[in-house]
Amino acid sequence: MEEKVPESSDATNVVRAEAVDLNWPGGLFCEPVAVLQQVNLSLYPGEMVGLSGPSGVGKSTLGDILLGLLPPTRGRVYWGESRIYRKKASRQNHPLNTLRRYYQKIFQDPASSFPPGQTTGESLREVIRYHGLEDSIQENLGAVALNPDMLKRYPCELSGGEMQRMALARVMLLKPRFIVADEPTSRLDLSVQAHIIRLIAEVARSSGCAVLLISHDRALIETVCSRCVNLSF
Amino acid sequence: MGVVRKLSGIFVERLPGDLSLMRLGPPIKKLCPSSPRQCGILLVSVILLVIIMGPSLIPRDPLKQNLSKTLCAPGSTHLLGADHLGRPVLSRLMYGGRSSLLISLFCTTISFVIGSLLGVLAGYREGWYDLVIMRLVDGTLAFPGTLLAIILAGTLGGSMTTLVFALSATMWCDYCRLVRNMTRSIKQSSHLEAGRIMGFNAAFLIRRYIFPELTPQIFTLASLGMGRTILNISGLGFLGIGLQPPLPEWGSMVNQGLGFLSEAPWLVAAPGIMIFLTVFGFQLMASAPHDRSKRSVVREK
Amino acid sequence: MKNNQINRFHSTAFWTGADTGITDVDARTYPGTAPAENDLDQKQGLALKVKNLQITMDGKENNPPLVNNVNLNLTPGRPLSLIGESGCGKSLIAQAIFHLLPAQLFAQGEIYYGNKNLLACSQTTMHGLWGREIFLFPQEPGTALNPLRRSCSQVTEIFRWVRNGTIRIGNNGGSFSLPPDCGNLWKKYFKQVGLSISDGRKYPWQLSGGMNQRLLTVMAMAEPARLIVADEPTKGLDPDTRDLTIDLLGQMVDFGKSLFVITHDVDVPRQLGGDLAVMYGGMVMESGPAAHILDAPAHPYTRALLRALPQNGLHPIPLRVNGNRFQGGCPFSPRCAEALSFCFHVEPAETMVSDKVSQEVSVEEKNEFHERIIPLHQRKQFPAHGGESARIIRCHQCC
Repeated sequence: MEEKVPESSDATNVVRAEAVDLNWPGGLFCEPVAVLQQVNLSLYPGEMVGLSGPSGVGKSTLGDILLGLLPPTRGRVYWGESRIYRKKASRQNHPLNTLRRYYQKIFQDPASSFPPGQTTGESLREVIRYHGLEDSIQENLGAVALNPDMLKRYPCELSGGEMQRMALARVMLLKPRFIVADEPTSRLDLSVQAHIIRLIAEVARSSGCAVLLISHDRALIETVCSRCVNLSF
Repeated sequence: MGVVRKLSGIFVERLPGDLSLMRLGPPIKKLCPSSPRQCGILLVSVILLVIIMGPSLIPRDPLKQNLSKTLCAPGSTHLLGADHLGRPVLSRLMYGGRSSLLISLFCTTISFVIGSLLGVLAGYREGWYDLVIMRLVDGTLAFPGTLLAIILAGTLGGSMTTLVFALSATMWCDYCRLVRNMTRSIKQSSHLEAGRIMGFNAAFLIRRYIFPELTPQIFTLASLGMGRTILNISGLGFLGIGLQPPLPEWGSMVNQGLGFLSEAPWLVAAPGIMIFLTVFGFQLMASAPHDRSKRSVVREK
Repeated sequence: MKNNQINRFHSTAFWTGADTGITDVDARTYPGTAPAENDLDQKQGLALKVKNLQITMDGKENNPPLVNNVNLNLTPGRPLSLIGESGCGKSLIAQAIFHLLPAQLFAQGEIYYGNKNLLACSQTTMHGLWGREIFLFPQEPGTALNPLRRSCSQVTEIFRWVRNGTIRIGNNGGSFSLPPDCGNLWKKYFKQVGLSISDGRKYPWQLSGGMNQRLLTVMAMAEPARLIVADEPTKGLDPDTRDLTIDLLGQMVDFGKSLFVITHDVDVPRQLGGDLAVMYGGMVMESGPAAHILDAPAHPYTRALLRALPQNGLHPIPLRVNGNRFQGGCPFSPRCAEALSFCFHVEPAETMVSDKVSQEVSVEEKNEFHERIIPLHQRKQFPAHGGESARIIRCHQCC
């Protein structure tokens, strides 16, 4: 676990993990496994941090913990100033409910992260309607260089690169503060990979949100990320 | 077709390849079914049309006896002949079909609603909800369904409400199990996780993400269930514990006609064929629809 | 060139393995690689020649072909890699080799395996060839194995099947038999790929992804097939397993199999060596020795593709620089930054160029491409068969 804190360490961090441990509980025939041990990690607005490591080391698990999807066994996780995974907070004011939409994820397989029975446009408009946001679909589509015609298509009718850009556009509708990009290009072509990674970096920089790029490709992380976190067993 | 598409959320794609229909003009081509599913829909709609519109076109009282026409053969006065009390078989068939279809529709709807609600609850909440609901399902399924229906209908008497209750007592379990298992598998999918991350609440997720994926399967099951319920109703009617005579009912009509099999075979054949056609139509309707993923492949190529 | 190859195929020197170019097996360091011992290992790969392959959708003649005039040349002893984006038609070529094309698609041209035209073979003949002569290396190691059977029994099954079935080797009509104790034969193969004997008693789901990949390699080696077609063997694998897979594929070449790898991963040809064909939009843009192409790509697409690698600066290929859709001519022209006006109308012809192309590339670009993960000397060098190192390029600018 190595971490290099940037110079502006007094800036308020977007997400912070302190001494996070995670154990998978053992069952009848299997031993409990300690996946993460004493992980400390903070991300600051506008930076892109890479997370690499061999498969099975718990990269995606750490991403899920930071996103509030999986309570760690021990340790504290903060979103801004508020601590998540607290049992005492009331349901209404719980940061997991109030701040939920600012912490987003980009999936490895973009097509499956959209409901298959809706056109992509319906999925995007649904997000706007549910959260009562102003309609910024057109601007976001422009930012990811997508044609508005694509909104009429179903997820299975778009290529992987187009779908990944669509997923990025959907996430950006929510004006997130933190995005976990979990292997966003490992299922995409080489020529599309450069495009997607550059888009993610650009969009994040312009909107000031922090990105955690999970990838097993060290060269990729070293090219685009300002710092790199390496998990090892 | 458009109505069906809206109703069920099932996506029907006309497949190219039925060459005999290709030569016909476009309007006729549109009416001709090209898949088993569409044949089923056509068959069921024809039967529905006959049952609903028929009595107003051929207004005859199915209960009125005319002893001068006893066992009258099919002909111009009685299109399908008359039974041993001189009642018109065609009218009795149409009115009998009304009650059969109505009962099975009620049954299916009730089991559909109860089963899917409990199933979604068990599948989505997991834990205790799952445990309790699924053990309830297991317990109910331990009774043989038809036997339970016979006992209930026999003891409570053969009214329409009793029949609905007796037949849907075990039917909801099928829906519950299907919906629960599918909900659990959809819950693992990454689009549901994406929905959760975007802050949608459970009710919204179930309505917008889970239910649309369940509909094709549920409607298939419902279509099979309709056919099976009609068979069950006729079976109960044949045993004499369904709808009570003089009310017309397909099963009891077969039973009554059995005594005159040699003199008037149409008394058994007509309701038998109707039962067969209706059940067959619903079974065909349940055959695999083209789902959305397949449709896209067809469109791309 | 074709005559040359067929002549060599018939020569006895080729059959005895003296001229197969794998004499330097021992010089390479693979854990546990033993020199070939039994007669199974003597079977050498045959040449695969794809000539003017065209795959079209039937009934629609106006559609541009999905695979357009593809020529590929697989020399025994030299692996051939085919790289391209998804949708460029590379998997269709594999499907055409195996007669597994979807019903709507329709292949024209010739695919010679040895001197047999596979496209002209009947379905029954193909069934006889599957597994016995040509083998499809499965994509995902986790799902390609039977989870209910121990790993050794899945391998032994092949031996048993081979021994009971009548096997004819290629066109020579010879048959071969296995030693009677095939029940223990798997152990030898397990040792060769670095699996322990105790792994043979385990089920595939008890083994890691890398071990499953080794197990598949054992199966590929145990099959009497001499041509192995691997369609995206490294898709979705983590880096360690991927390196291992590439290593194992190389090992199969040492084993005497002909190897045809279809991939979108540039690391595969880079580590595997041999020949490389770059495909875009249904056409082979550039083909020739992998090392030469990766050192000094001549086609604009290959150059753009290599520049998109993270270690080369992650320069995206523009989606559509020239603003027009593909209407004919070079399929890459809408995205090509260097396209000339007639690139949009005139389909480029295949041009054979000598290696002097590498000198025509500017010095800056050469420098850029010399920063690679694997230096040249660490790459496998498969000996070239005379005259095979020529590069074929489909681009107007390289004519």
